[in-house]
Amino acid sequence: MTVDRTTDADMAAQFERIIRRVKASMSYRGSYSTRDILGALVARWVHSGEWQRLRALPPAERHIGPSVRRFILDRLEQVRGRGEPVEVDALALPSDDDLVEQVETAELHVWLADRVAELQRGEVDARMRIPLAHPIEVGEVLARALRGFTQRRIAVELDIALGLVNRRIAEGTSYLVVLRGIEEGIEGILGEEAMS
Amino acid sequence: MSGDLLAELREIAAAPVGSWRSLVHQRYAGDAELIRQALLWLAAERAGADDDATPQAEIDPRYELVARLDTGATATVWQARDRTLQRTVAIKLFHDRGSNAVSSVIGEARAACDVISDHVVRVLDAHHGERSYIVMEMVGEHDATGALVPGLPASDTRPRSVREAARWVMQIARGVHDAHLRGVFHRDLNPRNVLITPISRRARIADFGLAARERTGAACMRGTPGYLAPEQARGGARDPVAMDVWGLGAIAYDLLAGHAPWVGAPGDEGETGETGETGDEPWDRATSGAPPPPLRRAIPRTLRRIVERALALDPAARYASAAEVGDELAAFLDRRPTSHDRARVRRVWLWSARNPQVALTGIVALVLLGLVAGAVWALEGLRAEGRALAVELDVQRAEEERIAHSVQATRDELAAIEQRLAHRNRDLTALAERIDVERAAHVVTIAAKEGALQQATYEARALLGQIDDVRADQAVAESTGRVFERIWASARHEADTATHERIRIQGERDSAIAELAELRLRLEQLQRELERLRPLPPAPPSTANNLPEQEELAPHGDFAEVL
Repeated sequence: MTVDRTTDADMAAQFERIIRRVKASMSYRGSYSTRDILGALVARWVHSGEWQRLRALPPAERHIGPSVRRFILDRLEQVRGRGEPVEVDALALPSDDDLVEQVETAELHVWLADRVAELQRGEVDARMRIPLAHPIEVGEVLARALRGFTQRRIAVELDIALGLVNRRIAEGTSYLVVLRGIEEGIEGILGEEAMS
Repeated sequence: MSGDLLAELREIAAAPVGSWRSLVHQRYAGDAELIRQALLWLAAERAGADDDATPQAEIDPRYELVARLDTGATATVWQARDRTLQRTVAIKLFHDRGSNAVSSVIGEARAACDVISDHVVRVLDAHHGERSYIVMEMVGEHDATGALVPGLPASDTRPRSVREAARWVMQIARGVHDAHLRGVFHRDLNPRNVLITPISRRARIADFGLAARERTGAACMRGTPGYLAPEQARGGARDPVAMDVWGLGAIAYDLLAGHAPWVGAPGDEGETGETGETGDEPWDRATSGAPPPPLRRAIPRTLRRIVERALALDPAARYASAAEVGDELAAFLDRRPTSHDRARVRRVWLWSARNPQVALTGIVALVLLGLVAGAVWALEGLRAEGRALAVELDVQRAEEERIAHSVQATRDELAAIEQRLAHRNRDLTALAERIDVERAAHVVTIAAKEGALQQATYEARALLGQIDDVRADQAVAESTGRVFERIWASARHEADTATHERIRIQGERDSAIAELAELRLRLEQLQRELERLRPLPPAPPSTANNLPEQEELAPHGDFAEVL
């Protein structure tokens, strides 16, 4: 058996990207900074249906950045009508690349919430080959983690040990990462030669 | 089989990372899907392990990490031992390894280290490098066994009573004011950033991650969505004091209501949590221009007013400083009048609550005074009543005497009446005797009159029979009269008819006479014509003279027959 070492870096990069995005989406709370509050607006844009429309277009014609930017500015303009003037022009909006990243993060957050809801119902995705023990408990822990609860608060609410909360979060995160990899298609990372 | 697969994967995970791919291919050859999932699972586990691992190597050796206290979105907090000063500290280790973390660490550390307050967690040290972290005072207390019990965020430790919630917010307000005096403005006050000591249950502010050092500056649009001041959510916040006063009100609201001002109560429609991207988000509510839902009425009104004023939508309508909030809450806790207690009765009530012994003594004295006054009043009333009874007794005695005299007079009068009655009885007896005599005479008279009456009755009956006969005769006469009347009417009718017939015949006779006269004239004319035409032989005059007489008599004879 031969293993194609040249793809190790690519594979690691993609794995790292999936893991990073899943983790970022899990801790995505729209708090603390202007960037995060704008992120919440980006999430609103994703739900507005515009993203669905653009996703149907070829990547070169999507122009996500201008669309999101226009949506955010419109939203801030609406808010400005309700109170004191806001220095909309003074707000530094993220770059187009960052906006795209935020859109994907927001979208991924919705996907994660759906999967966690499935776990809470005890449903494990049939495509998953690696078993997940205690899916309901994992779902309950992850649901609270997604809502921004600290691990201590989760432990108090579910009446379980803090260490167990940590373990359930780790197990659930691994499950979600693998499932996301299946969703995005990870076969391209490993060449057919490597598979054989 | 499932357990075996997990055990195998964990065995592979224990091997060097570089060998994972070979081991996975070796063990699951031919199952490409499982290989892909296994490799990704191993990578995720390693990432999780990195998070879980004690990052002692990334920390200054001076600090020995003892236990992980909590993990949040941006950092993990560890309990650590300061080997140099032999004390327990808390280390906030940021997840982010980039430049953002460095600026956060430096900004937070610089802001917090300037604040010296019993109600603010002190920052002792800060490091920025591969992993940035802040060394802070450990908020915790030793229990009875000597073990250190760490403090918990206020979001995880609910107050045991309304007064405890008010006391926490008062302590936080004191700490915020201390920070303001040092030119540090927190700008992100919420229950997560407040630690509660486990035994004495005091509140201390932590996490100055968004703190500002200048009171005036560019518009700010940062914070935690559920606790954002309205002007903060709109990005137009310029007064950090007003923002922190709002933050104090928001913490009080959360502790009293059980949820953040801009996050609906559990069970509300549209609630999706602080991260909810759908429905009515906290950010939407904060910018809606509507105030947070009112606190429940079970909470003391004064405390509600304090929270409502701190949460005024207009920054100018809020308390001017955090110290003012603290003073108001201290007054509420000490049962002193706040700016919302202006009614005199309310102030007296609060004074009584504040000085229960004096108030109780006063109340007892007032009650005793009232009792004495009541007794005196009652005694005086009894005396007046006695005097009135004596007067009434005299009146009654005089009345008795008058009644006795009256009784005697009545008795005398009765005796006189009895005498008169005796006389009257005698008169009545005599009268009765006379009546008996007259009654006997009257009976005789009645008998005589009855006999006469019977005789008159017989005569009347005879008269009645005669009257009946007369009436019958009269009826016959009337009937006969009616027959005669009818005959008379018929005879008159026939007479009228005959009269009419006679008149008619008279008319006809007159007509016949007129016709006869006319015929006579004609005859005369004819005779004269005849005479004129006839030759002259004269006719014997007797014949000629008789003829006209015959003709004249003939008609008369006819008319007589007709009539």
